[in-house]
Amino acid sequence: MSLDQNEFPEEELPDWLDGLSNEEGDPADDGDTKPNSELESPSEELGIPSLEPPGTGKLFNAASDEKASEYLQGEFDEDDTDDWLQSIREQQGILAEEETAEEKSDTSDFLERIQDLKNEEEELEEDPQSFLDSIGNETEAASESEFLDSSKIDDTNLDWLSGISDEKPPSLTSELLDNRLGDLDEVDEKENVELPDWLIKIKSGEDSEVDKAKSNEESLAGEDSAETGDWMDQFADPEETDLARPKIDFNLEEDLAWIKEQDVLAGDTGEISAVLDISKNLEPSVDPDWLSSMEEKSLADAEIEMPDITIEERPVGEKGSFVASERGSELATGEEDGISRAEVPSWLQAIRPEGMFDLIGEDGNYILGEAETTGPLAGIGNVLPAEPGNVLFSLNKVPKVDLYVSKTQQVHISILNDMISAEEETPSVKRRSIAIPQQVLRWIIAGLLYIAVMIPVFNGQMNAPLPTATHPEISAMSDIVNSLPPSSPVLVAFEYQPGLSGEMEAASAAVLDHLLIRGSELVFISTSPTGPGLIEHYLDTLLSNHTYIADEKFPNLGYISGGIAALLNFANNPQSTVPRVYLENTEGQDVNVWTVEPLNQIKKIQDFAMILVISDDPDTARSWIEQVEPYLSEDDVPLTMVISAQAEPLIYPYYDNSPRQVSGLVSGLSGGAMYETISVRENIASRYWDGFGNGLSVTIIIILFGGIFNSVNSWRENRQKVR
Amino acid sequence: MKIKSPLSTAVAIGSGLIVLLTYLINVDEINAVRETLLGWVVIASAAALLVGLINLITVHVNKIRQGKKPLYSFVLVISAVVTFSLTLVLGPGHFIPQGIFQYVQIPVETSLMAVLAVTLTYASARLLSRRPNLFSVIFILTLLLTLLGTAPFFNIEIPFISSILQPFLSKVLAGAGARGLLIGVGLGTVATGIRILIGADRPFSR
Amino acid sequence: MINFDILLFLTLFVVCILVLSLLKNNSKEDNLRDIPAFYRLKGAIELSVEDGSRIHVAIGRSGITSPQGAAAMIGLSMLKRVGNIASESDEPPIATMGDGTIMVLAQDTIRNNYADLGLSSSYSNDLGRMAGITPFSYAAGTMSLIFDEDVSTNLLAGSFGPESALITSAGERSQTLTIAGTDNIPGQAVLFATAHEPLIGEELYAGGAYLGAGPVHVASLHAQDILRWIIVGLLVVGAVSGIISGLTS
Repeated sequence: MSLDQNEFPEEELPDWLDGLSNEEGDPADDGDTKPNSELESPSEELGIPSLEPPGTGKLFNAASDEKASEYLQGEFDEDDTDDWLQSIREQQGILAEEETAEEKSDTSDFLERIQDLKNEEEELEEDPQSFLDSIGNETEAASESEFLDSSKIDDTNLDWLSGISDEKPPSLTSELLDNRLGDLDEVDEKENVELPDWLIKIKSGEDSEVDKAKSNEESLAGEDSAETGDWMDQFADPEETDLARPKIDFNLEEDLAWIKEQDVLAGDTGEISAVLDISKNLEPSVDPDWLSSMEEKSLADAEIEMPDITIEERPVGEKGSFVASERGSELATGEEDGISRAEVPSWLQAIRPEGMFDLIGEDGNYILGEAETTGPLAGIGNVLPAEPGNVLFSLNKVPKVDLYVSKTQQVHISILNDMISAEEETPSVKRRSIAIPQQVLRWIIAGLLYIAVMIPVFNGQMNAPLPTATHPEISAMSDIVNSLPPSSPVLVAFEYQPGLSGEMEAASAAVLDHLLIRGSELVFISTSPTGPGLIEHYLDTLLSNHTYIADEKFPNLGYISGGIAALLNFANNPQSTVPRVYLENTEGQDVNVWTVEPLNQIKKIQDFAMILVISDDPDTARSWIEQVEPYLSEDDVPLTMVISAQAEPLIYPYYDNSPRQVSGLVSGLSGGAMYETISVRENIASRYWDGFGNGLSVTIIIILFGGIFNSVNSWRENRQKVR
Repeated sequence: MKIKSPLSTAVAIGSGLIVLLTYLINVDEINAVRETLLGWVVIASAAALLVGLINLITVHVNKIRQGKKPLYSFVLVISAVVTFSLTLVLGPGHFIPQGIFQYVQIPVETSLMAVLAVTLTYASARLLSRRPNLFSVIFILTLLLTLLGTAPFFNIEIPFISSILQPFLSKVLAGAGARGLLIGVGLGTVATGIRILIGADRPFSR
Repeated sequence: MINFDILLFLTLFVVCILVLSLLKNNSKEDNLRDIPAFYRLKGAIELSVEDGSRIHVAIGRSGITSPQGAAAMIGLSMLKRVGNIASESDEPPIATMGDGTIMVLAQDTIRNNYADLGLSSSYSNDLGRMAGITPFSYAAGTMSLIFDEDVSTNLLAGSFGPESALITSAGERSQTLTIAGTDNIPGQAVLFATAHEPLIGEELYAGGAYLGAGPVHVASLHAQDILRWIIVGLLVVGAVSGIISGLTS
């Protein structure tokens, strides 16, 4: 039960009274099987004398009275119920418009209503029948619409109550409950509508308890009457309670808190004592008089069913009776203050608020607790323990849910929930798969290419004619090498990547071979980190037949880091850029390369007889041209290059310039083959030539036919799109 | 220590201007400063290479921790550490580091080059499907003619193409186009350099 | 000795950029020609943020000390712009490069992006990683990243050679968009055939202007156009004068 204002709108009755009215008006309840759901009020079960229980106890005893039954049956037939519900719903529009005004007046109305309830209590004690009549009238108004309207009340008016508002409402009638649970069934199954905990609990409990209730009913109806020997089970008529009776957990603490709240709001703390007397009546084994009388009446009256603590499972939208417990609770006996102790049903024990019964001492007397010192209940003693989870004096953090959800609203909720959940969820990124057809096609192309390249390797034949035409830049390179005097220091820069070592080695092998034949003393350097390794690899595999290389007396300056800046630095002052490089001399001692031949002659870069750059990258080649060549041109030192075929269009203009910035140029495998033709020394370019030609030929075919196929395919697709 | 942005920007601009000034004005004093700066750059570049290597290893160590293809990362880390350690201890000229380079790195990178050849062939064959326009047609035709002129077509040399057309394409047309592109690239490079020098473009600072 | 021609050229360039920057501040129109690759890049960035995938910015293999460092700086500018947009996404952009100096700058760029967005604690140095030292090892390292890191868009902005075909091939095989630009001419030829959206010529250098990196980028782009036309005019004049002098002699 919640004390939230939502559950106490203007003119709203306490829950159990509200339930009373609805149950009374339940058209589905015929005279034979209709349980008197009015008794379902927890306070009744507890024999609560104040406010209603005494009266209702009598009333419910009187519920066996034909007058009461007739009244209840006659007053709330189906048509009537529909009419008033419809009228109420019609009023909802008006109420919604008047919402603001109502919110302001709710508190005062609420207090007034509490006062009315007190009056009703007194009236009930005097004349139960007239009170019943009045209830019947009032409950028409204090019905579903009020409950629905209650949700519109501004929570901020009752901030201090908001912490409690999460709990279930005190007087949710079976009809409302069934309606709302039924409506929410579909929504809840598909979406995670955020429902109040109490509703989720009820809903889930209902579902799970249905089967259990059925089985228990069967057992009750069967032979195990001994176990159901409590007072409730005596009334049980298994044949008439075919339907499952789900148990709904009521929060007694909240119910009582509601009662207390009324008193507090009414400013009548004296009523609290009456409320607190409830707990005395809660002592086990004490049946209240009114309950005892009801028990006797029930046994005698066939029309009166078992106490209305049972509820029949009803279809959605049908008015249901109140909570039922299929399990008998153990009754203790005893009387106190003239009121017989009621046996507390197990379901009630199960739902009792923790700590409440702890207030009952071992002697069965109620233990008076200390008065509250804070909060709205300050000064009141023996109030129900406020648990952190139940009572939070703060704004309600959980939004209220209007439980009346129409089909259309369900659809809207569903759509909205989908949208929200879709936004909240992090979409799982689809793992991008590898396109298999492309991969297969690549394998086919690779197979064709590699087969074409490998055939000359396996058959060992050199059928392809070497290029006969010699390009002038290649001839210029050959001329420069031939013009070098013996023992000329030549700087060779290895500026290519390991991946292109095949092409670059084939293109440059003939040139380096030619230089070594001419007796040039080569000095190696690189601005690439992999350069030194490539130098070693190159010399070991291609030039080891030369004594100069085989003796390992050549200086290898290695890698100079810093890219173009280092290159510029080296061009400016070679020795300062690479100051400490050591070489083992003929006596086995490590000596600085700058102190021995040929580098002891080198003070500046122009002192080299020739610079040869072997590069696969036009940018690196350009760096040498732009940074080093200006120094070389001062003394007409030739800058020559062996470059990859891809760099030829970019570097050739530096040869075709006037004056030439690049004095000689060999590009690609074909350039190497041409140089071999000129120098009349067969080298690896000639050996690669057949495989190279075959590979290019297959490539041409693949590109040609692939291009034609794809063009036709693309054209057909476009044509289909146009159609 | 984190250098304040204005100070670091001033240092960067000042260093750049000094190096640029040496291209414009040939003064020995300024050249000496430039050489000092370039020496620092060389050292910093080498240090950055080492930092990059550490980053590479760190990334793969994290991958191992996270279980993202840990086997590959484990092999990479072990290979990197072993190679680095051996080269550091034995020197780059030792036969073991040389062997690692010659028998592991060169074959691997050469294989990648072979894959690249296949990839380019495949991409060229599909170009007309992906981008069917006039430029693609010209691209493919130029490519085919250049290939035909580079080597004999199944041991048959096509005289006109290899002796006249292919050199014309690669040295004149391609050279002219490349020059035009290079001018554009050069302008872009200069513009980028100027933006950095005037402090208008420093994407790596706040 | 003063190198006047270079000094004149640089002075003219600087003046153009500064003047055009001032003019640009007073004008809202950029007057940029359409480059489809950048429009597609913008869409790809937004899409990657939406679907929680990652943008991979490859800055290439050049170092800061080489002329190709300018292309790398453009890559950094584009990384900054992409990062500003997409750093808040589930999978922030990741940058790869093949040089240590650029790696340090790229990490600074990403770190500043995170700091600007107040996400400094989320930053990791792994977001700027050196994939390999050599061009092919860089390409190989980048290929595996494209397959493993839920990349939806590859932006290649920097200096790449023909090895970039391996990266674009990985992008195509993983069915991701590849937008690529390089200052390397052979690389451009390769990218023309392999990338979904190639940036040809100096289009790469326009990246900052098209991605809204600032008015200076737009101004420098216009300054490039002005100087290009000046160079074209000089070339024509030089060619005509050469022909005339050849004919007269």
